Amino acid sequence: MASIRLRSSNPGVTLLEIICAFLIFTIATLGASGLISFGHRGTQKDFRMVVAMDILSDRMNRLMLVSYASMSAAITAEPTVLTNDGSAGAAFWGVPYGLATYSRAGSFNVDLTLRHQAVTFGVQPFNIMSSVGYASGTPTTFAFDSFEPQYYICDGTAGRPYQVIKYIATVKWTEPNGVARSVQAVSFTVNLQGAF
Amino acid sequence: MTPFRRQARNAGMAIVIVLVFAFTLLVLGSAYLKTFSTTKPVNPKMLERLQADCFAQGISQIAMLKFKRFPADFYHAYIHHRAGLRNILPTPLERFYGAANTPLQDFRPGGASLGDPVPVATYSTWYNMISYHGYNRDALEINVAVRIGAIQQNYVFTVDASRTRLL
Repeated sequence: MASIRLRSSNPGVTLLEIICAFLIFTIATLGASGLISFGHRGTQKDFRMVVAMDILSDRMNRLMLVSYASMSAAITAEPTVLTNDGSAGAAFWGVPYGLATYSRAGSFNVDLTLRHQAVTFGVQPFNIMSSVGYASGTPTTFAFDSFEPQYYICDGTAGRPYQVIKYIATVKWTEPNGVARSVQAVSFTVNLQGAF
Repeated sequence: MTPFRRQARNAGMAIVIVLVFAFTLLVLGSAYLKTFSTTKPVNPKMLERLQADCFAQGISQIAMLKFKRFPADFYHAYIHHRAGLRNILPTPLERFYGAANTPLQDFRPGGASLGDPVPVATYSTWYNMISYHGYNRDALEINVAVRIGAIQQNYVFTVDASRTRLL
């Protein structure tokens, strides 16, 4: 009888305990699921970034194969921007620009920017006429003229044509929350075919 | 007395068990977050590396242009420098490389980096000649060091160069 009385004097303790436990467990589970969702969103965002870099790398590698003459002929203004947002099929010497789609990552847009780059080279010219007793393997016989900081100017003015083109590839996309993102890379192509 | 003792021993066990579960979830969650936070910066670093690769490739082209335009000046300046002569300072080779803010050394036309809009912090360029006397040929090494963000990348581009006597 004593034991029966003791049980009946604590009615509902087990139920209350289970409710509290369930509440704690629910809160913990919700937190865990939120965490997993956060990680999943982050992974998708990273995946889009990886895809954008993949497209960027592809376009830059293709642009490196385009000759200086071809690029120079395409520059109608400084800079010339080749853009075709939302549409596919446009290409510049085999380098696609405009819409680029990628399965499970969405849509991206690629812009190509071309511009001539002015450069000026300074040289301290070797002067063979002043090199008394010149011997190609004896540097003490070498004579140099004074340094000329603007020895070779390529700025597109008369008689000084451009020799360098700067090109930029831009890959743009929009995140599901509406935030616009982009990645860019820059390189140069040079006129190595000119008569020197 | 026996039933009373059994009940006292079992009381609150559900909460203890669920707390253990919750703690386990917390530990797993924090480990997951830590993994996530350490993997996230990989992408920007990969982008910086790609940008540095492309930029260095372009700078090596500009360096090639200068070499191709002034081969005799370069050869003599290089041999003069390698002989350790200091009768002309800065040496003709240092002049050939150029000072800061020239096309081969951290050029900043109009105050902006040559790599703009890519945030190139600094870059520098220098050459090495590797001679193969047995074949009367040289290899020109163009070295480009680029720093973008926190990464520093060094590149070596090697090109074959024929050598022809001036006289």
